[in-house]
Amino acid sequence: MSQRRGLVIERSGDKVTAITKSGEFVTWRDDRDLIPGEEVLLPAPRFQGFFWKRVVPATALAAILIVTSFFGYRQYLYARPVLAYVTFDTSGEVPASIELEVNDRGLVKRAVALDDAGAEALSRITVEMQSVQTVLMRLRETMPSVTQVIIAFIPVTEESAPESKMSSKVSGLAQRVFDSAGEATAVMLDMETRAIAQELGLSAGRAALWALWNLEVDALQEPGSEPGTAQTVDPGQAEPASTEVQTGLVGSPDDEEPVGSQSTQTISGGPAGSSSSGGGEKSTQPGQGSGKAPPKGTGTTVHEDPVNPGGSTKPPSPPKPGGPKEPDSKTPPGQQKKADTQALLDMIKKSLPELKWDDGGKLDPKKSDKELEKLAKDWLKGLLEVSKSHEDKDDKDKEKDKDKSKDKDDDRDRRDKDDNKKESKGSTVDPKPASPGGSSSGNKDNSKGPGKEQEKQGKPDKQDKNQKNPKDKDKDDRDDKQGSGKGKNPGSESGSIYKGSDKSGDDKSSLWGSYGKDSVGSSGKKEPHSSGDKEDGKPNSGSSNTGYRSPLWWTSEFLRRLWK
Amino acid sequence: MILSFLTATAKKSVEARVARARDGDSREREDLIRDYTPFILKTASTTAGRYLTVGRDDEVSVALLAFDEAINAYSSPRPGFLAFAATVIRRRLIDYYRKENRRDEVPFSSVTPLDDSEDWPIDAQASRTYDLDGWSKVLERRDDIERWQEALRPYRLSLKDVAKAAPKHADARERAMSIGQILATHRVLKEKFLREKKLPIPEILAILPDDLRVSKKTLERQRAYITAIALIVAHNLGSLREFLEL
Repeated sequence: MSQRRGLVIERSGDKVTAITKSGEFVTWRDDRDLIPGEEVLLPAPRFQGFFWKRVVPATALAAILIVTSFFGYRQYLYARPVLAYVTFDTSGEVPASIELEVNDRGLVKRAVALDDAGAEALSRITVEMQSVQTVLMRLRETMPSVTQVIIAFIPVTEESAPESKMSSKVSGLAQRVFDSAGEATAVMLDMETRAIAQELGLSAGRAALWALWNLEVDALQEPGSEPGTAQTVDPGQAEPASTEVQTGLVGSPDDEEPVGSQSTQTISGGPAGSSSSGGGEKSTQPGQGSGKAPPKGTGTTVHEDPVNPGGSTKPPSPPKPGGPKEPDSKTPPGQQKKADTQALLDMIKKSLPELKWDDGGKLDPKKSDKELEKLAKDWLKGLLEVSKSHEDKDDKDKEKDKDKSKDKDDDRDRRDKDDNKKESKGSTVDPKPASPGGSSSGNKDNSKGPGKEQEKQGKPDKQDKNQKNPKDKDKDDRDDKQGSGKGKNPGSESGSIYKGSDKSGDDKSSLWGSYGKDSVGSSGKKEPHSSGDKEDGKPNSGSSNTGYRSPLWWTSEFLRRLWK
Repeated sequence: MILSFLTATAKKSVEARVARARDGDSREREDLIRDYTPFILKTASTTAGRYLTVGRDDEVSVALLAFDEAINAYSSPRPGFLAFAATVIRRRLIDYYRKENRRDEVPFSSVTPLDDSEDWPIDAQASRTYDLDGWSKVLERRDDIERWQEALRPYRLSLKDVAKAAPKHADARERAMSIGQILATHRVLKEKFLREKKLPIPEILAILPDDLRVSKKTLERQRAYITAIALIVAHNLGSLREFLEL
């Protein structure tokens, strides 16, 4: 710092004013004994003044502005409204379920892990105020072994409005999310679905995953197949189709492989069945069917997935992506008549709301999303009703158990014998545990699933249906299918998905694998349409009387225990 | 009689007594020292930071010698001898402490000798002890500064006002100083300036050379500064003109 010589011209207190040779006046504080007329050395006042009067205030102001703007903008971002929820659900060895709150800037405000795997994944990455695309990408990176991912986009605003009315922000955000989904399945759901799923402890994406599976199973029932050929598809075989369905929602026709119609269509779509069975023989058994329940009297062995409430919304005949490329096994020929099968298929088509297919045989992405959303919602509603109804039933059962425990040993032995009989009967009817698609007309009593038509028609009684004429019966069967479809109970399965108990490596089975363990009696729902039905000619009645437990019951029981 | 003596003494200004003492009146010098011994002791005690006793502390002797030096150095007819004497006493004591190196409580900045080296930081400058010529120069500048302040007063200006109105940029300042010099050296304008006690801006604008051409607004903004410079030249404040090279 250069110094100049100054002449002291005034002193006032500790302030000294001097004039330099260049005529500049300089004032500073000085405690020395300076008198006017003395020459002193001055620091370079120009630099000093510029530094302290310009640089320092400007720097301080800039720092304040930067700091306040940084935190202010951060607070501003946090204060932005939530525009959508994005769920990230995986299957396989690392079944994780995560829900992200995304604001209108496309940034993640909050991330909620719905299970341990999700929490572990979230603990590895930073999600707050990160773009949703980045978060989704990082989540995928944290779980490299995951093969199946479903990303659900749930707009908060205008959730009930049609997509055309969706605000540009929401649609733009949805587009970004879907673009970042990559190979994952991306679906759009609504807040109602999310609310129901939340009540059940699931993510909306998980619900959609079930609906996807249901859609996939539906794809197995393609009208293009030749009548008379039975086709049994287990979930394991359907796994490639699952991928196709996932991409097929917005997929290409190349991925589609029409499945020929069969005279006897035996579809073992149950997840548990997929995990426990490897072939079509098992698929013929109750509890593995994922297809539609045939009308009584047709003799068609179509196992309907009891877990699939979306049975009511199954797509019609056009070839769908995700259909099995090769049937795993065939039911014995001649088991069903071709005409009956064709009638069954026709009936199923009529009973289902039509998906909008374009001319190329592709699923219209938007329509398919809508249908999927509807499937998920219906499935969740059915599951919710069933779980609630069975909670009361379980309480009553517990009271009965207490009373029974007070009985004598003879009575206990007698009761044990009776129970054994019931169990043996149930196992005969439903040797196949665990298909989440076990719901069928056997659920006429048990199925609480609120199928659409069932809801409209007030859930017709099974006994009444049995007494109706064949036409009514067919109609009732359709209703039952839809109703039972609604009564599909993947809730427990979804819970088991979170547990990730099945590590068979089969994505499909891993999705639903643990369900089979928990839903031992689930196939009983299919019993009226299964071989068990054929054996005694009577459909199984409610589980509470006979000891037979419907898949819905097992699902709700699983959920109940899970919640407890 | 005593009362008459005191009254007569009071009527004499200290500067006049100093002038007589400096001219060789030894009795007046002794009287000044005796009369102002309390002032000398107070100033020395303040500088030393402790109570000083005559005949016991060396600082008292140093202070008395400094007062005598101040009598010799104070050549100005203007008032202000006591302030000057206090300054000389303080600085002599500081020099004494620096030489003796006996007082740690003396601020380092105060004991650092001041020389003409520009390497010394401003707050490290020490008390500056001058010889008689040095003190005379300081006193001369001080007198010129006082006269400068008195000259500014009819123009309703103070040195603070001038300092505030001084141009910040060196070019503008240099231009203003040149304009002030032109004003003070121009006979007609100088008379009008001194007579009317205000800056004749239109006339100044009329006589300014092209290299000093400024707007009227600029002149009005720099009015105080130009006035101050012009007064230095007009009143021929020699020490300031020498310092500012006007």
